[in-house]
This record gives sequence, C-alpha cells and structure tokens, in this order.
Amino acid sequence: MGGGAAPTSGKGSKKPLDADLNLVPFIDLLCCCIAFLLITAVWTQMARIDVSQKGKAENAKEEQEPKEEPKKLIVVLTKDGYILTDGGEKVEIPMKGKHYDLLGLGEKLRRLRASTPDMATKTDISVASEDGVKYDDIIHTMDACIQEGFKDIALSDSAAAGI
Amino acid sequence: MPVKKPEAIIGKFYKMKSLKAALKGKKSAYAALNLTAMVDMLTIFVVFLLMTFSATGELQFIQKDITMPDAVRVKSLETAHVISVSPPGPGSPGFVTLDGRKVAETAELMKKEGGGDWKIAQLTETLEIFKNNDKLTQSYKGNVIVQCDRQVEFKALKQVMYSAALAGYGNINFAVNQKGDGAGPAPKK
Repeated sequence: MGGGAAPTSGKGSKKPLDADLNLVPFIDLLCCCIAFLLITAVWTQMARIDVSQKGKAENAKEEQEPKEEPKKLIVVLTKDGYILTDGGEKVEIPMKGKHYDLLGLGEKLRRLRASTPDMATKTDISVASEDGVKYDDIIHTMDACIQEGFKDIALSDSAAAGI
Repeated sequence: MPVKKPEAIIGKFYKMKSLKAALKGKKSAYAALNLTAMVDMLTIFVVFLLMTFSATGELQFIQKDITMPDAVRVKSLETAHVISVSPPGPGSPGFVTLDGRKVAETAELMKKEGGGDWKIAQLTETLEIFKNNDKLTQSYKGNVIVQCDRQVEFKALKQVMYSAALAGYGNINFAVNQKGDGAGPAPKK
C-alpha cells in the first residue's frame, strides 16, 4: 500500500527517492465523482418520433382550402396486416403469425422508391390505423417507414384516410 | 530515522497494565486494509457512471404504469407539455393526464362509439389555457409530447390527438424508448 521510504543506512547525505503516495485524498475524490455522476446519470434513453396529424381536424381545414395534392403514399394498419397504396394499386402485406410483417413492409417501400423518379425523392407518407391496433405496432410501423427514408409521417384514422 | 516495526502504542504511552498483559503474546489486532482493490472498484464505478452521464439530464419522467414502445430512428426529446395515456388494468380504468393532471379515463375513451365526437373536452380546454399562457411568455410552439403505453389502442389515441389539434397543438411527439444508438441503419437506396 502506497509506498514506503527506503531504510537509510544513516551514512552519507542522500535523501530517499521513493515517496509515499497518499491514497486517502484520491479515494475521497473518486467518492465525490461517483456521488455527482450518480445524481446526473440518465438511466432511460427516451426519444421522440414526430408526426403531423391528418385526421378530422386537418380534413376540416382542407375542406375550406381545397388544393390539388400530389400522389400520396398510405400505409394502413388493419387487424390482418398492412395495406400499402399510392392512390392506385393496393398491396396487402399479411401478418406473420401474430405480428405485423415489418420486413415485408420495408421491402415493399424500397421497391416503391425504386419504381419511379418521383418516389425516389419522396419523404412524406401517411400511416392510417384501424381502431383496434395497438400503439406499439403503430410506432414500429412508423419506425420502419422512417428507416426507409420517409421521415415526414402523418398519422390518421383509416376512415379519414379514405381506405 | 530508523524504521521500526509497528507495535501496539496504546500500552506504551498510557501504561494500562491489564491491556498490556492482554496484548502480550497474542496476535496483533491490526489488519492491513488493501486499498488497491478498493481504488480499482471506485475507478470502474466512475468510468461506468461517466458513460451514463448526460448534460441535459432527465427531461421527462416515465410513469410507472406506462411501458413505452421501442424505436430505432428517433430524435432527441424536447421540453413540451406531456399527455400521458396509461392502459386500463384490473384495478384501474387507466388515465389520460396532462402535465400530471387527470383529464380523462382511458377505459371511457375505448368504449366510445365509433363515429361519435372525438373531442376530450377537459383536455382541449386545459391545453387552450396552456396555449394562452405560453403565448404570453412567448414559449408557444404547438408541440406536445404523448407518452402512451404500448398496449393502448389507437381508438383512444386518436381522440387524444384530435383534442390536442383542436387546441392548437397539432405537432405531436410520441415518446419512445430509444433502441440502439438512435441513428439506426441508413435507408437503403
């Protein structure tokens, strides 16, 4: 522990080169650091997913100011799986067992992106859900959409989305 | 100065005969404390806690009855009014709270008939008051954080979102647990 002064023979005037290292203040410093860091520690990493609303409230505003809209990409969550549509053809992605097929949705979105030049630069998507769908599944769906580059997500009711 | 072997000094200076006698011939009562291991342990503690250090601190506290979903591609949380939606359970109908104040019951929202009015009156009125107050202090941004349990159905959530939008808070931030480093894999082209 620490260091010890070498025994001197008593002859000559040489001072010992070894020095005691006092560990007690160092331990005090570590204890203070630990106390401070314990107070400022963040144990749960929370984050957010932004959505805009496309439902009753927004539709009411649109009725007052009708405007021509570009093609919309809509992902509908039903109790049987996903329905992906761009206003024309509807693609159904059934559930895998009891879970939604997120990988299948990702693959379909990637194919859509590669299909036309318009889709390649598109960043907005609408996620519509039926009433009985759990919030967990909605979040995972939105996460999958963001992962494929559709970061402007609008969340709405399936009836309000017109599906 | 010569180095001497440590010995019991209490008997030497205070002449306690009985203690001297008791200590004679017996093993030393002193035990060396190995501080090296303790310093190593404290250093590892400090390193571990440094990894969990955050300058922003906890911006939001999670209610104990809410389990939020996980997500990978997320953004960092900002301060805003918090609407919590807890699930109905065996002993509780589940509550919708706004900054800790109860404004509705989740079970009631889930029972509402489809096609009816989606407005949660108390939530909308309270948010309008907050909006007016925020406008006075010039801190109104139209953002609101929704902290919802993963088992809550969309039927209840859409009413919360609609009521918030009516009050002028159309920008909804869904609070989630960050999974991974937050950046996630880049979108494949």
